[in-house]
Amino acid sequence: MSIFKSSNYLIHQFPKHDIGTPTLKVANLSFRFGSIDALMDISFEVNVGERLAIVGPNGAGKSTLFKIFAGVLKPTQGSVQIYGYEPNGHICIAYVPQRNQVDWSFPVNVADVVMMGRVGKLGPLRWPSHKDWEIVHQSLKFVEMEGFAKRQISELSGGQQQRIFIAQSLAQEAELILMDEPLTGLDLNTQQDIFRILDMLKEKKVTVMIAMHDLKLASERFDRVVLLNKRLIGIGLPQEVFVPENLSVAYGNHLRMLTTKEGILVFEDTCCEEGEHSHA
Amino acid sequence: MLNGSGYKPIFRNLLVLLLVFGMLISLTFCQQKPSISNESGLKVIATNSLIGDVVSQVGGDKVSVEVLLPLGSDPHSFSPTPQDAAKIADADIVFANGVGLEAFLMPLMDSIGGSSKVVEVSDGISYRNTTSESSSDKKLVDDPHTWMDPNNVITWVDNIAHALSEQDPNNANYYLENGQAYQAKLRELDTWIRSEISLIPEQDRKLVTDHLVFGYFSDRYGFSQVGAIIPGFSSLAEPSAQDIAQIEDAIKAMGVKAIFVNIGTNANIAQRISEDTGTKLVSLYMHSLSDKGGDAGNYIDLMRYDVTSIINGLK
Amino acid sequence: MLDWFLLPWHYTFMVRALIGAILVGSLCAIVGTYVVLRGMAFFGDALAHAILPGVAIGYLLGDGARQPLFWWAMLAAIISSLGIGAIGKSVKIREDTAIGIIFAGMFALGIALISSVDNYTNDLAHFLFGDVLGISASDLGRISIFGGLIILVVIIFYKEFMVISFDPILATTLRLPVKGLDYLLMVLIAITIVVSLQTVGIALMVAMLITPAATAYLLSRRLPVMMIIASVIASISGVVGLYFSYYANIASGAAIVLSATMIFLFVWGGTILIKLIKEQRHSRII
Repeated sequence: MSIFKSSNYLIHQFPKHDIGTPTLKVANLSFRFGSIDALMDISFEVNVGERLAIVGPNGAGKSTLFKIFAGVLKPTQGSVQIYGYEPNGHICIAYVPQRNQVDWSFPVNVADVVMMGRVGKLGPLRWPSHKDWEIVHQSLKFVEMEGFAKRQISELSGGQQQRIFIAQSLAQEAELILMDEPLTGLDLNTQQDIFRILDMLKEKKVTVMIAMHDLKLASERFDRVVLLNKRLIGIGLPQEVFVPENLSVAYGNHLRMLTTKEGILVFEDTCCEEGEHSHA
Repeated sequence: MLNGSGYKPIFRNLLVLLLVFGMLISLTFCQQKPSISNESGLKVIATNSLIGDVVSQVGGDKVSVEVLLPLGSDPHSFSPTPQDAAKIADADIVFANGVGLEAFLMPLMDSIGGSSKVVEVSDGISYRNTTSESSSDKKLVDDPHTWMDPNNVITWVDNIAHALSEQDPNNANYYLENGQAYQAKLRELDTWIRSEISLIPEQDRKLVTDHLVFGYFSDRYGFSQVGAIIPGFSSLAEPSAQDIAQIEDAIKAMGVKAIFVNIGTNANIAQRISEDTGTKLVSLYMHSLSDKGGDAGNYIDLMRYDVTSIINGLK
Repeated sequence: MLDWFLLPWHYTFMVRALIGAILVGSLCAIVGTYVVLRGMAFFGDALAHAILPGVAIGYLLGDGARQPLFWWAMLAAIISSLGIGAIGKSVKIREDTAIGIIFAGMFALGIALISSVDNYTNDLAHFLFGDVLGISASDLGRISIFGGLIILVVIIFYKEFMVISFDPILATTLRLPVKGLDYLLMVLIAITIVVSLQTVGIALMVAMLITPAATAYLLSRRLPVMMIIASVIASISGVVGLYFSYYANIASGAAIVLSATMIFLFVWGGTILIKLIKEQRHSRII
């Protein structure tokens, strides 16, 4: 059925990517939901292959920001451009949800979930071809889970669950991957496994943005960090952004700081938040 | 794309829905209730159009008759309205069939207070009965369909003339004469039926109906009621799978040629049975007259129509 | 003993009822898989009740004939599904209340319209509880054609329906027409309900949509398997239900639903039992 091109869901074609332009360009972005200002006047740029951490307390708007980047929500003001075009025109953006938002009892196995990433390219009536299955297999291999193809998703561990969604993003041939709290609830070893895979993604020039809580990890493993609490409080190298003035603005009085020999130890007080999602 | 607003579309949808259904509710206001009325004289109520016809034959222009049940409606499932109650309260006599046909009547009379003015026209007829064949209760139930034998209607006429004369003694003779004239016609009808019946060989005189209506008719004219889709005297029940199976077996075993159903009742199951057994499906007037200009505008025409249809069905 | 098994099928009307029950059961099971996975049981029940005014109008205008009933019910079903779907999407607070008010009101309207006709009680009972013994060959034809169309659409959009059911955000990032697909699914459910009306009736419709599918959910790990198991269970319920209704003299629609429910309880009990046994073994090893 070759009359169905890969972009048959939209009338227009998907744009070619000029690697020279920034992957992501945000200008004066605001998002208002009813009477609540979720995001206010945010501007920054992300370049190809960067790995960015978006850090902020509950309710800071991290998930909302990602949903706007993914094209799920429309900004109330300002603009988002991915390779110079609106998010809505691309199918190269992957949004990896928080693990607790996923219906793990859904009757699908690992291969099914990864193949879902290709549905945008397939279109109705076309069944996955040999090439598509190859891509799924390669994606699983990349995240070191090729033996798990037939496993029901409810039987996976936290780290494995995270990895199949990365595989799904790869099958989608995503060039920008947005991950919502992927490291929460994983032990240190598992976190390292994920970072190893993220390093491999960096080599492939895939741009990755991760929303997270862990300031320590953010400062250690990321090229740049964004400190967010409805407004953009800081963006740049971790040691430039994570300074006490910024942290106080971001976390209000929910932050306790302890000066030690190695640096400042930061404790986030997460009790009793009304956030946009429940904290695991 | 999700955004924060979006109340307008629902209101529009609701409005459209309301308009459409508002227009269609007006369809419900179409009912047909026959009344054979005169200006002066006794005010009389008849529960159904058959009784109404016979009463007006006897009462003539001295009696104004109003019929409760609309044409074509089923007495077994009738529910009276407050308007009906008002009419009954105004009337001098209420003529009913009795024998349990009008289950709605006695509770209504009790609440209005006036049970004394009810005259059961079938009074005095020796009733057929049977154990109610519907599984649960095994009570003895009387067959209310007395009018299917014209000879019973002769008794009706006596009861009616008597009641009218009591209420209106001045015109007693008038009622008596009308009654006798009508009874002569009924006897003519009886003779005609007997001659028509003779056209059907004995072994084909088998009736399968939607419910057991032809008891008195069968006794009088040598038919047998092989069975009914609803095995009972009331049309309210649903036939179970075994009921349908039994009827089909009976039809095949007895070589029945036609199934007779009441005009106006939903004949879906009867249609399926007639298709499956290769019999004819014939509609008859059982509980009600037709329109004035129709095939069964009065009792005698109704019987002629039904008997002719039965003959044609079984030939 | 064999006689007992074979007896009901000597009668053509029972064979038709059986074919109807299997066709409708399988169709409801397949579409019902989505109802169960997407938590649309309330929507399904509301929709089944909301089509009664459409059925009533067909009944009034067509004098009880099957054909006009079917098409009017279809019209009402499609309009109602889109309407209820739109309410669900636009009203942010208490959407279940809004839907409940509307479907209850429409149900009452339907009853009011039907009761304006004399001799309505039997017919109303048929609409509410089904009339599978009265199914004709042409009814079966209609069921087959529309059932086949629905299954065809499910096959065509199989991947897409799976994605929007599992992860609507993924669907959006893949630029699938999510709203359109949601509405399409609702319309499929609506047509399924109309096609199944004669077999189970309005009151029991939601059971045919969810019970076999819910049972299959406990027994399967993949979507296509779940659909197949659901269809098989629905068909078995149809057969058992008809036997039940024949020999025990009870309403066929209810007997079919009772059979499906008993199968569910049996399987559900079984899974709980197995879980308990596994936990016992596990704790003993430790």
